[in-house]
Amino acid sequence: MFNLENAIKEWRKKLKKHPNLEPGVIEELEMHLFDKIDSLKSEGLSEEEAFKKASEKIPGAIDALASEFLKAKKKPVIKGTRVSFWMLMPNYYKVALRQIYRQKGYSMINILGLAVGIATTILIMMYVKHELTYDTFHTNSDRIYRLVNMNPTSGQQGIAKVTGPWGLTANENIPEVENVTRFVFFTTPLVQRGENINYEVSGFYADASVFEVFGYEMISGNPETALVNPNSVALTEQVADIYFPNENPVGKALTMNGTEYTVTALLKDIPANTHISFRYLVSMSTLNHPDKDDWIRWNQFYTYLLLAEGVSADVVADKFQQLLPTYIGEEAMPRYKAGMQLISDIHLNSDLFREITPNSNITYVYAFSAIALLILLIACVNFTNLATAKAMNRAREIGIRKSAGALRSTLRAQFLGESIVYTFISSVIAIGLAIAALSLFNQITLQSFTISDLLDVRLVSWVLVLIVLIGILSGSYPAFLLSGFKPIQSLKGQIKLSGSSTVRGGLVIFQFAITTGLILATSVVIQQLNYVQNQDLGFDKEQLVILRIRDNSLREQADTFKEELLRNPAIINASISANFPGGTDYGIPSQPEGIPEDQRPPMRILAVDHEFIDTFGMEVVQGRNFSRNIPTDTFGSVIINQEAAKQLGWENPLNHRIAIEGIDFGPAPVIGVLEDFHFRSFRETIAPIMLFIPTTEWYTYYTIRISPENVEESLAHIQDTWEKFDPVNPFSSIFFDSYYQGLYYQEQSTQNLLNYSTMLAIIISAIGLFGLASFITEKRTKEIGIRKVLGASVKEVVFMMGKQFTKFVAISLLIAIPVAYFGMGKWLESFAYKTNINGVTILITAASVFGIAWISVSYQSIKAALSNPINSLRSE
Amino acid sequence: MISRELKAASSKPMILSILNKGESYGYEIIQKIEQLSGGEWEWSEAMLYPVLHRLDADGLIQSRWAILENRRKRKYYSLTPKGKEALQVEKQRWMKVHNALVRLWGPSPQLSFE
Repeated sequence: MFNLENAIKEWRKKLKKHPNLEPGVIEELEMHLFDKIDSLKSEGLSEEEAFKKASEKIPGAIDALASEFLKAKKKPVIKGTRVSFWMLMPNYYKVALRQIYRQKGYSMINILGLAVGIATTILIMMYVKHELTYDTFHTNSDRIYRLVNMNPTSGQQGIAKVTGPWGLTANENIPEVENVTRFVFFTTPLVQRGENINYEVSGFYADASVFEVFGYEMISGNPETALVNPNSVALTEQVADIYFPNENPVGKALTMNGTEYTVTALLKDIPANTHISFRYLVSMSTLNHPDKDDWIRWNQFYTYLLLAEGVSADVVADKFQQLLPTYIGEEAMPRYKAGMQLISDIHLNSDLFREITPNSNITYVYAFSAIALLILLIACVNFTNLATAKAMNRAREIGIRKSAGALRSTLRAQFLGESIVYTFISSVIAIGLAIAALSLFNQITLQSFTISDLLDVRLVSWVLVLIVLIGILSGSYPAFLLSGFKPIQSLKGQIKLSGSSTVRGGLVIFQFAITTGLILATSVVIQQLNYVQNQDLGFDKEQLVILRIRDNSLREQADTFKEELLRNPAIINASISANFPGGTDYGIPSQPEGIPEDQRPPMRILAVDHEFIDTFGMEVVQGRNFSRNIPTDTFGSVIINQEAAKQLGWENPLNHRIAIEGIDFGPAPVIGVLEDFHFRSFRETIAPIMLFIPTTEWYTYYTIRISPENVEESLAHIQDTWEKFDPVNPFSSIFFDSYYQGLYYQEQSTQNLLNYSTMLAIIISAIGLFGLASFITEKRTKEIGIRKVLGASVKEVVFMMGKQFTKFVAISLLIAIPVAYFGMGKWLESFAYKTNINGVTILITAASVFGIAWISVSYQSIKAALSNPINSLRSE
Repeated sequence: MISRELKAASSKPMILSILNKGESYGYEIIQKIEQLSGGEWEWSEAMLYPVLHRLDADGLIQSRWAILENRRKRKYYSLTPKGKEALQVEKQRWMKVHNALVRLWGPSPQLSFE
């Protein structure tokens, strides 16, 4: 049975197959057919006959119809490049996405490599921004200066702290100074409220003017009066939350070291990017140190001056320098030189003795920015390389576009746009990666960034700029290359990319040069830190426990406490002292006999007891140790180090005497000479130091040497003993070696960041090389097949494939090694005690770079070489 | 029979003139041309529809889909003002050709070659 519906459906299907017939036209023709059938039917024909007659011309005419339509169709009018470019945007977008989709493997390599690169860059940019914005949040950050003593004789850049009267006098006598505020460490008190008892770190005494000078945000309390009265304390939220959860602490009482304080203000937590990071402030009027108003003796005040607008800090420093002799006397002047440091410069540009927190260095900021840039470049190179390599596959598309009238500039714009699409996708992934890696990044940099730091408006807008830049950077060479194809050749498939493989080679060399440089730099940093940490300090830093004395009973009953401790055989030695190696040494002017004032070397001081030298395992090389049997040894004799003897020019130091007039000590005989030991970080050379036994009130620390076995038990014994003598203050202890490692905080975080950066650089370059190798191998499948047929072995094929890359890597090593060698040599110069970059390091670096390159390349070539030649030759 | 070239050349004025008399659709236009020529001009769909679409694209005619009572659809074409102008131009051109031919073929002494 004839069915008209089905017949028409069939007929319609035929029309639909034709590319030049649009759906609307087909529908119109279908209706036309119906009309014709109707009229034929009215002439008496059957439905089937009518359909046949009506449709017989139309299907036969489909081609004619279609070609007529094509002819009649308006040709697109090209009205200049810009219009047609935007008109074709959707097409470009579609083609870009298809490219990504069709070549999933390569796209993955491209996008992931770029994403990792961008993520690293975002994180490092966040770090750099954090570093660059230190102390810029204060309302007057452009006018606040720290007054310091650029002491020309200290052997250092200067001292960050000055004595109390400096700031006050500057404020009173120099009209350009508007205000002053000073900070003094409030050493870790025992804080108590009800059941809540803790040691609270990061407290300072501060002048009442602190809230006028700095822009700290106060939630509750009166900034003008908060720190006026003695025993007032201003808490930041993090401390207030411990003792006053869910209540306003202002007006309430808080016990610190047994004294009752009134909380007078609640402050917002201090931002992390400041060099004065405190958790609470105690009013300066609380401080009752006997020397707080002395011009010489007690330089414990971090002093900040607020200058009037438009005033030069140098002028103020000069004026203060001229005031000084009046107060300290001309004879002391050689040791003092007033200096002014802009508060926002301190974190990156100040490296004084006694900084509040270890500062960073602008060099590190530059170094990390450079590393971020390098990693990004490596990722961009991957992109450029793969895009160029894949250019062949796009030759036909370009030929067609050009024949259809695309201009070179339009094509360039298209390919650039494509790389921006890639970059954009990578950036989205990168932000995800960065968020995921945030906690790891915090561990690496020893910082505490949050997601809101990462999504900061300024940072994000920088990232957007970066996306466009990366897109342009990585896309411009492929765009330039592809757009230059000649349409006829590209349609015939005759494109030769002879120039581009040279460029690709150059880029691979560049990439591997960067990677090599980073590997070498990292290994030097690791070596240096190992060197430093394993150096002979001149004493044994392992198994030393340090306790801070909290209660006077532990100071006065030192001998009984030590005896109690030593009852346990696991306790080897115990010593009480005012300070210990690692940066707590004092700098009090001393007077070696017979040396004129201007020739006295700056001498450091350790105030110790009879057991100190034995406990630390130091060695007396001349004379003797302090002895309990000689009463005059207590506050009456001195032991110096070899460096002191050398600088004093004493052939036999035991014939000389040293006095410390400031504390009415001596002149006391030198009874012994200690072998030099490192009492500071390895950045500094060993300075002259003297040890003496002070009066009891000096003592602050116990240092206890325990045996390496049963550490837990020994600590428990120490704690039990502590609690017998001081039941009030909770026991706390630190190991000396972990404390000592803290001196290398900056180097440690640098090393961490370098380690990870290098790892990423290696991974990204390896990914890129892997992609490139697989592409090249693919291109040469037939060649490999023919070679195998002709008898080449697997080994020969792999070797042939690796030859080119080996050459590239060799060249990159030749470039990178001298550069890195020179750069790291410079870095090492900042250390007083340094390792040297040896041939072994360089060899290992070179070998590992070769190894990485070979692994990335050989996977593909081995696969190709092992494959059966029949398969590769039969294809196509 | 009328040659293919002549059909093609006259298709534009023919369609415009038919539409000048009122809205129409493809099938009807073909019918009308056949009637006008006394069955001598047989227009194929392949000739008509591309021209219609071309004229539409040029803005000389406009189209609309209408739904008929039997729920079929039909595409109607009508002249636009621009199309009316174009028709005038076409008319003048064809009249010039026509007049020239009439003069040639008529009894005019000046143009006689005998």
